[in-house]
Amino acid sequence: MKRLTRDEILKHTALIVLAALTLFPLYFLIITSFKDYDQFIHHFWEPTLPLRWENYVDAWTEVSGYITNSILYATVESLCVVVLSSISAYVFARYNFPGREVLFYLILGVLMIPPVLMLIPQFLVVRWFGLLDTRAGLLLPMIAGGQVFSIFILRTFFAGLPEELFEAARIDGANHFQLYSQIAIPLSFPIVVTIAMLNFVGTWNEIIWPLVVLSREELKPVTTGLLTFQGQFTVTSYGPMFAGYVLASIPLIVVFLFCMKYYISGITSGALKI
Amino acid sequence: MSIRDSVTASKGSRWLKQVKQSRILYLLLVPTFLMLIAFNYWPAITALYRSLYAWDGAFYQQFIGLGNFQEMFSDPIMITSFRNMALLTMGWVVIRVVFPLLGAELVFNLRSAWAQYFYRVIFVIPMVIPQIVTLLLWRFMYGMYGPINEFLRVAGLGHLARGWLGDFDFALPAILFVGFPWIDAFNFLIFLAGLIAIPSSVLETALLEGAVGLRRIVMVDIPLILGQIKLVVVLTLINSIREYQMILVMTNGGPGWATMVPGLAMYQNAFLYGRMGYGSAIGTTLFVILLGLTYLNMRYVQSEIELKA
Amino acid sequence: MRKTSLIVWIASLLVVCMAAVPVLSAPVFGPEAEFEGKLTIYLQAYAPRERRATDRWDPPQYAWQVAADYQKIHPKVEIEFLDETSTGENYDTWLRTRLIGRNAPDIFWVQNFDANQTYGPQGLLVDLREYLSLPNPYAEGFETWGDVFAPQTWDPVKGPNGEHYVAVGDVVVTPWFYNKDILAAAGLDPERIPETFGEWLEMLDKIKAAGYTPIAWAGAGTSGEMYWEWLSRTVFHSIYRDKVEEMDVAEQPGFINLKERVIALEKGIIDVDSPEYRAGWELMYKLAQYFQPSHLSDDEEMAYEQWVTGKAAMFWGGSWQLKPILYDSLREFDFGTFHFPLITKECFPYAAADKAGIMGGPTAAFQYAIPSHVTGKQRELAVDFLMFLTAPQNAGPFIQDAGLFAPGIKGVEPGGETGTLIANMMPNPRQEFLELVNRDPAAVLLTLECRQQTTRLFQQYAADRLTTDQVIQQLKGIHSRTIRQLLSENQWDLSEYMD
Repeated sequence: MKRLTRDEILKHTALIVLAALTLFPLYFLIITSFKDYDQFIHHFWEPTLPLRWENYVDAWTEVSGYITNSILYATVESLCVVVLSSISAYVFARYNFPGREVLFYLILGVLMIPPVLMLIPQFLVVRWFGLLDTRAGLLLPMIAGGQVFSIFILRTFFAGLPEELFEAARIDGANHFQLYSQIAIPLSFPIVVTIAMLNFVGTWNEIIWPLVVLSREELKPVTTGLLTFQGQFTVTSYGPMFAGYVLASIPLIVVFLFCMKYYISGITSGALKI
Repeated sequence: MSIRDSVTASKGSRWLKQVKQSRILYLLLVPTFLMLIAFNYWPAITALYRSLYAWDGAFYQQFIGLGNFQEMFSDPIMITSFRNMALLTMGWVVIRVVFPLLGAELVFNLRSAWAQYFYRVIFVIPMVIPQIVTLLLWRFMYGMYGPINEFLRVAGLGHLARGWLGDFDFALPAILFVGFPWIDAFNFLIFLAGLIAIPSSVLETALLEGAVGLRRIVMVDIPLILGQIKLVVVLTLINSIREYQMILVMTNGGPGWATMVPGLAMYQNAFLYGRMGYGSAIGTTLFVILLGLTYLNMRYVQSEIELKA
Repeated sequence: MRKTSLIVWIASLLVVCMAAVPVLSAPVFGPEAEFEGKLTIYLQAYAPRERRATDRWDPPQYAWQVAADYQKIHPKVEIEFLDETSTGENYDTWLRTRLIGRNAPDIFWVQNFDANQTYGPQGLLVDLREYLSLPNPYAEGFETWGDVFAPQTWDPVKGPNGEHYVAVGDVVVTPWFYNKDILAAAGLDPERIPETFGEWLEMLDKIKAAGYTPIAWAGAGTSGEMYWEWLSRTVFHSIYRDKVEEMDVAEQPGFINLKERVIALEKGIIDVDSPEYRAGWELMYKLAQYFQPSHLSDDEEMAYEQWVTGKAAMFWGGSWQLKPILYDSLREFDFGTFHFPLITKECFPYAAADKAGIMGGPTAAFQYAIPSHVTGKQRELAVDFLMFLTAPQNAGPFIQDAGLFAPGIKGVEPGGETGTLIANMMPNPRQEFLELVNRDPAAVLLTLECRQQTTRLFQQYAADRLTTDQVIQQLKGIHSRTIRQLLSENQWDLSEYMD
């Protein structure tokens, strides 16, 4: 018993060190968001007083109009990706059918194509569909691309589930959809949540694609608003820019707290205890 | 009833019948493939076949066969770039697997559910930090008046202080070291999800047989989450080989060509020099390398599992 | 019956003709022309915006005034200015994609050398030549629109075959900024600026001896390319100034364009393996010994910081930095400016210029082009707005209000907050803008790729990783590859120039 406690202390110490190092950029982000130029240069590493709240005033002006757009885009994109990719991944993981390997590698291949090269051709496709400057034009290619990665990951998890569970359910008369929704998804819930979060953040932080596809002000996401603090011939205003990053990350943190709470709920309530 | 059974029972002979039987499965894959055809395959094909052309990214276009590839492989700079890419990729694949795995194991082995939730959140929150913030931080870290050099000065090793990113010998390792301790939230969550999915009966048996601590991790955990490890390895490979934005911001491939990688060369040719055809040729090469490596990884590691089972 | 129909026919023809006369004779451009529609414009550093709480000086806003004045004349035109949001490393990606997708703004900023080398030849931009030869109804006292542009914003911005893709209205000047306190501390007269390169080296030695970093240099990343361009152009200007006439064989008399640089290399007027070319590199190496030790890892921002916080005595900057310097709370010293001094025969045997070459020219923010996908009436509207903007009465306050650059429009003087400082930076009779005579004397910057590769050579050379021989060897390779590429892309036949 005593040894276990010492183990526990050791683990906590290691975790605290790792956590502190991992969180250091966040600390830097927050302290910098309260600094003016002078404080930024002379006191790069430590927090300074007075706090420059005006950074947040400026940041809010640039960011506030776009936050609802970003929330909408990130939510729609991550939901669509989770639904589409979990169905496809389930099919690839739990069934054997002619052409399965070929089709899977066809999907996987998309991940290998450098995205920079795809930018112009994708833009031309979106224009061909007449979707420039529309929400669909922004989101459809992002969903198409996002699902590839997610299929790849989900397939690994679905394939690792014990066949006996599915067999037992089939004997009980479960159909394809029930197997998917009542066994595969709940048992892989942590990874489904991870995928959703990853897509949420990915869409939230995307810069180039919205910049290229959208020109109407009212459609733009937060990232394009934040770019105003970086000028070609002007000194980058790190204070307001970082304040903008902080503001833009608040919705993300709320989503994370929620997701991490439900991260393991599927497992504990599920039927994994065989 | 089970498609899986019927398929394994009959090999090849009743292929058409199998296809017919699997109708519903193909149908389920239709949305995915429709999206991919429209927004990925079509653009990808138009991008990759351009590698056979001298193409300026606009209207000038001339078929030159494998000319771009010839130029690429005869260019000593490209050889340096591929070498840098290989070194970075090897480094990243190791550290971005080991450290998140370490973090996941530590969290997984905590006894308090609340502490587990707490650390999960802690390791996930850095996901909100835009890459540009991290890169700026590291550029200052490596700067002449950054903490690394200040530490050296305090330790009486001031003569070793230098601009690390501008040093021909240290720039590449400095790039590799960015993001220490490399607990990438996503890799961490994948490993943790894998560990959570290990049936508790297996862990209990391991405990009874005296497999604890590191011994259990090596003998029990790692074999059971080999699928996840394989996954993270493949994803890290892909990201490492495609990486250019970070290097663009940190060093722009310099000093000299010390941190040049093919991804950056591709970007520069395609978007700065107006040599889209050549850029596509680099991209196509990266595509082929990735496809090959991924295929090897999937094949090789999979067969290992099957042998054990 | 027939007669009446004929009369009716003639009468109706007359009516049609009379109706058509005002239509045909209606001016295409100017206050009398009819325009309607919306213009989307990206003005880069001139993009107007409201002052923010954290701004240390007023942002440019005069573009709003220009738009309002224009709308008074053309009330049916709507004007939208894009924010300066898509700059930096995203700009090229954004612009290229939008141009190819035929979705770029009606008027946008583009570097004229990018326009001439890539976007223009690719057919993505409108060649403004035909419009520049028309009168500009908004500018009084000028025969054609083209006449409003000062010499330094006219010849140097043309393409290899005389194309004119970009209307350029301002000039960047890049002097050396120095810290007067450090000069005094090094026992130098803080008001005395170096007249010759030799004097400058003596100054740098004294500053070094006094324990300061003489020069804060930005050698890393994309800043490194810019600084390298400035340095190599200045040094080789001094070496090849007397060859300019010999090189000026093709189009555009008085200006050495890309094609002529290729000819000069092919004919051996510029010989990479000559003693003077090597000496040029060695001179640059000598200067690099005064840089801060970490110059290869410092970008423009970091170099500026070292200067403004008093760690380094000098740094090479530009007129756009005046407001940041004036309003910098970290600066505790007075500053002065001087230009790269004349390289004389006394300290450099290959010096061949009698005037000091001044870095600077039409590479600033007032460089506006129209994409080729804007056609018909919309193109005329865009041209008309550019005519309006470049008329001296509008361009003047527009440039002065921003205070970033020197005007490049005839009849406009530097003015506003930074006006005196900018006027002081303009070349005196013993100096000349490099742009006017020889944009790239040593042909180190033939293409963007060439520019980047030579930067990397210089980085290695300055860090003692390459000898002069090795540099020359590699340069030959870079040049021959670039020339091959340029010849095939432009389909140039140089045989008439080779004898």
